[in-house]
Amino acid sequence: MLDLMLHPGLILILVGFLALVAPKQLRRFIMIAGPLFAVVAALLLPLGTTWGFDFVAGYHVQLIYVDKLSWLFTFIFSVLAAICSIYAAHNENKMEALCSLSYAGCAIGVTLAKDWLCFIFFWEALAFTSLYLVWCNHTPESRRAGFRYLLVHMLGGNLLLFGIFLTVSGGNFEVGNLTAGPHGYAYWLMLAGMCVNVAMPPVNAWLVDAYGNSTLTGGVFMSCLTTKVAVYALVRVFAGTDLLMWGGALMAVYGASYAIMENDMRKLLAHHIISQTGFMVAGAGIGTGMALNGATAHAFCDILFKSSLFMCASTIIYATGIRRINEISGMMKRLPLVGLCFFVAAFSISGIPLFNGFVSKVITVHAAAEAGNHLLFSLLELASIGTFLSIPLKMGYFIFLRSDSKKVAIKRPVPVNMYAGMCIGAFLCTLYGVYPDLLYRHFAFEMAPYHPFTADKILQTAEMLGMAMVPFLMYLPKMEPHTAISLDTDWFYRKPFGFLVVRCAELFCALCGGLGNAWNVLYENFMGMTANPMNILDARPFRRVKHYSPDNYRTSIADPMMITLTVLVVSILYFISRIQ
Amino acid sequence: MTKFSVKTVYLLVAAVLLLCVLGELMGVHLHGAEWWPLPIGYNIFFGFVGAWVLIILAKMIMAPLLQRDEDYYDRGGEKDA
Amino acid sequence: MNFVQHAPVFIVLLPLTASLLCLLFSRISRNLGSYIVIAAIFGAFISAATVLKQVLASGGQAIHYWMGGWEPPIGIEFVLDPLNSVLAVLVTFIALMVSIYSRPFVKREDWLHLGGYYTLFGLLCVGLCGMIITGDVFNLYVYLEIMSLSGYGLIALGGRKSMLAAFRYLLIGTIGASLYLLGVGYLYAMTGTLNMADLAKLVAAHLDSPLFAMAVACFIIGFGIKMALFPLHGWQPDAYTFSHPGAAAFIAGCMSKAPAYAMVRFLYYIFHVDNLVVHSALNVIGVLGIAGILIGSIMALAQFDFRRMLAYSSVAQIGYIAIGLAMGNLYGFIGAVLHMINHAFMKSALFLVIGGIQYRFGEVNLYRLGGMHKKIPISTVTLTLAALSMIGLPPTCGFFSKWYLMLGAYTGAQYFYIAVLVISSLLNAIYFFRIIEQVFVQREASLTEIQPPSTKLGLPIEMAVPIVVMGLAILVLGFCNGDIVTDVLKVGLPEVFLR
Repeated sequence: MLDLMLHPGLILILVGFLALVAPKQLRRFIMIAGPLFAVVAALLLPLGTTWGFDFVAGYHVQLIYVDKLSWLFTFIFSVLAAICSIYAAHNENKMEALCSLSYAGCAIGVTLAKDWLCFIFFWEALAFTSLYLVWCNHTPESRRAGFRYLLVHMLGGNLLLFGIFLTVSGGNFEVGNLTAGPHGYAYWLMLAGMCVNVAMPPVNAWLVDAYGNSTLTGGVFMSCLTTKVAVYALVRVFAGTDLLMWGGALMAVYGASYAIMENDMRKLLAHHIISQTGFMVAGAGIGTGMALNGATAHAFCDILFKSSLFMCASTIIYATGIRRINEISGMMKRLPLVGLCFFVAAFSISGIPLFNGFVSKVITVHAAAEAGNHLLFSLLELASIGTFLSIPLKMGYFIFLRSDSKKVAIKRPVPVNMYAGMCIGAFLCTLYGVYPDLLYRHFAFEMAPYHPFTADKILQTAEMLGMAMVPFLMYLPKMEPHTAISLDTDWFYRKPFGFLVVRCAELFCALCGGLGNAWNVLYENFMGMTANPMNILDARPFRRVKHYSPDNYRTSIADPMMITLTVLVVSILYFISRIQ
Repeated sequence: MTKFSVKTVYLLVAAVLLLCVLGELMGVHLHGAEWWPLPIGYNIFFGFVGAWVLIILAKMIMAPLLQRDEDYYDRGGEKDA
Repeated sequence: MNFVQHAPVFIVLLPLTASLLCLLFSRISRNLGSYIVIAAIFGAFISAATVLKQVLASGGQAIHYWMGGWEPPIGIEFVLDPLNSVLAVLVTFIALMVSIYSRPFVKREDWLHLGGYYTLFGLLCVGLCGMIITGDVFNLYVYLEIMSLSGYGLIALGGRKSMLAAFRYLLIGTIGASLYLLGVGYLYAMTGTLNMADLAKLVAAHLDSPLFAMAVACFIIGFGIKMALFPLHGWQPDAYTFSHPGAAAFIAGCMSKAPAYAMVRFLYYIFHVDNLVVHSALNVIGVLGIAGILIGSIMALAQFDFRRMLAYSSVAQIGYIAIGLAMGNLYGFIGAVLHMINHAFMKSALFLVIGGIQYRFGEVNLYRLGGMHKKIPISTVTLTLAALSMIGLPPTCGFFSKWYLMLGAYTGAQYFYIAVLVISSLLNAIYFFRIIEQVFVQREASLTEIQPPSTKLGLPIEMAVPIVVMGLAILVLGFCNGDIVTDVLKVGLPEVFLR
């Protein structure tokens, strides 16, 4: 039981419920202090802890399973929860507090789960809790975005569920590497389900859509959890799949290109999530020890700098109310601390030495080279350049460094907890950047010892990134984004598919209405007919009387007589024929 | 640009690159692609071309194709949630 | 003279004597003739009840009464078995009720018309009872003609249009009677006897001859005309509509039952239904019955004159009896006979009610009966009971006869009969519920009162009491239908079913 109490995920969920019911003053305190318990619990969890119980039919549910890989992810998720919770402490919305903390808790739940049932339970819970973070925004646009998010995640979750169901009924209860296994339906279904969550094109559009429309504080939570949990899952289950290599490379370049075009601040960062996750996925795909370690390390550091970037962007939006880059300028003078944290995080993401991107991202890239895959290497380097272009250069210049030509006004003062969150994030980025061994000692996979601060690596980075600045400066006026949205793969289910669904619904409603109408018409006619059938049978055009009248039927007496005789003769003939 | 003008940045960049090339010449062995023996300043070349290609791709090719008005999805039928 | 011993003949003798003397007594005192006839009919009713008790007490054995002590097969005899006796009681009871009921209609006439009316009424009763209880085929013809002629007369007394209706009925009815006589002639030629029991034995040898086939055809057509089997019913709507309102109940209730009884007697008891010709005859009757049911119901839907609607409804109800006979099994037979009894009461009740309305308001259009329940509540109760019985809702009697018919169809595996019964019940429901709706739900129609109400019941006492009694009888027959079937009908089944 003690082990169960140390489950950071359950602690976070509990804290979330406390935040829901607590009164206003206490809630702030709970939100700041509560996740720290989770961090402490994560630190206290010894390696090799397991805790589970037997469920039906010989199925053993394992809630906690701590090995190096899961511990690393658990730790960083708890730290993230703590930072974001501090950032969000000013938020009045109780349900949002509950959902964001539960969301983080479920992420940890997935990480620590060793059996498929727990895995899929927390995985689905991720989707539901994060959905509310989108809906909490209470605008029509975010309501619709939330529905799309829900639909896509339902799809992904069900694919995964179906795959897990097939796997479990095949007897495989434990989460483990399936790369070598039979490449049947279970394999492809699970891969597809995880790819949806990791936002691989073509199912990537939900990420930009949802993260751009979520609440400010919710978006910070969302930015790091769903995709990183999916990365963990891929590393655990599908390490070494070739598909993931190329998928990852595609993601990296795709995200970077869209980010160069994008105007909305948070959507730009969301495109970037795709890009960075692409690195990790590619690393998982390569499958060597170095690559997997690189993916893990990148996930670790990405959580830190990505959340910092999101925090900075959300702070700017909170303070000025402006979301679009082409409407902002000169923030460096107005919000210098924000600018400083932003640049720290931006340099981290680009992989500049002394920040943590340099010690993690580059491992993956070099693993690609080590594995002999040169095309992949070049693509990932290209994506790094794109990263550098869009975040430090584009965002940094247009938001912060540009002279204040737009005359932006600060509408609300930035509360202290937001500054605290950003600073902690920036601090951790630099900490791991200068002292990488804090991270390296927790690596889960076997690899040759890696030394980041070698001259050739620094030189390489300096050359590449330095030269990349030149085209940016050349095209500087053109680099300003337009007020526009970019169409993404969600066009397919928003335009033609939506049209199809609406038309089908209209068709069915018309059919139902028509049938009901037909029934009504039938009923009325039937009623009219049974009220007086003779009106129909009798009202012939050439009769003088239009409707039934008894006098029509009173013919001369000869007629009944003829009828009588006819019947008589017929009967006689019939009888006689019978006895012959 | 408040404190820096473009020219200043260009000068800085040039200085850094010069240092790097000198460093390479001094025998620092670059890891990287081993297709062919890496020429000196390969990364400079890669950085420039890569960035240039990305900017052309994104701004000149993708943007005209893919960018629409912000209320593109709101016209025609998306009025219900 | 022992009353009980001679009770069978009193059934016929008393009304006959009274009818023949009625005009004489009316000449003396205007109302005396009617009282005499009513008393005689009451006497006939007592006699019939006595006979019935006797027959049932002896366990179903038939009572044979030899007329004048002459021994059959030369002498004429009256044979009373349970089937007969019940119908005799039925006819005399309804005759009694209706004769009392019709007094207010003819009270103000002069002695000739008053006397004449009751004479014809008495003779009609004689004819019907005689047809039912006789055991001789030619005697049956005599009573048939008595019934027919007095019927024509009673119809003609109804007003201006009724003379044409009566004349048309006379023409067709005569054809029917003549066909019957023709059939009797053929049988006599074949077998040489006119006594029914004797005939039953002797005709068995001739069951394959064409002459027999012709005779059977003549019989069924003849009786079909008299009982208004489709398509031989052309006379009936006019006849019922335009007959004298006082007598309409008797005519409609009983005049179709006696020929139906005669058909039963001939086909089941005399000809013993299991031979080819009679089978074919039953087929024909079945087909005509189905057609009658459907067409009668449809035509009834279209009418706006209440009496005409009831006439077409009778066509349908006679169709029920016909298909009951045509089924050829025990339950069908029981259903047909039970329906004869039930229908007599139902139809009489309905005609009594409309006669009352006609008496007080002179209105026969059923769409103008709105709010009748406030004006004549007694009639409304009977009307409702009779309507529900026609539709076939328990515990009124109509349900039970239809139930037996359906049982008969089911046991004979003739499922189309069930379908026809169901459809016709639905059609019945339409026009009878229409009447109930008119009476209860519609706004009050503005009717002019011809006769102001003389009692609190809205009608004179002589009319109110028969109406109430008829309504009660419908319920009583319903509750006691089990007893009737087991104690009476099953005791008098034809041999065919007892084998």
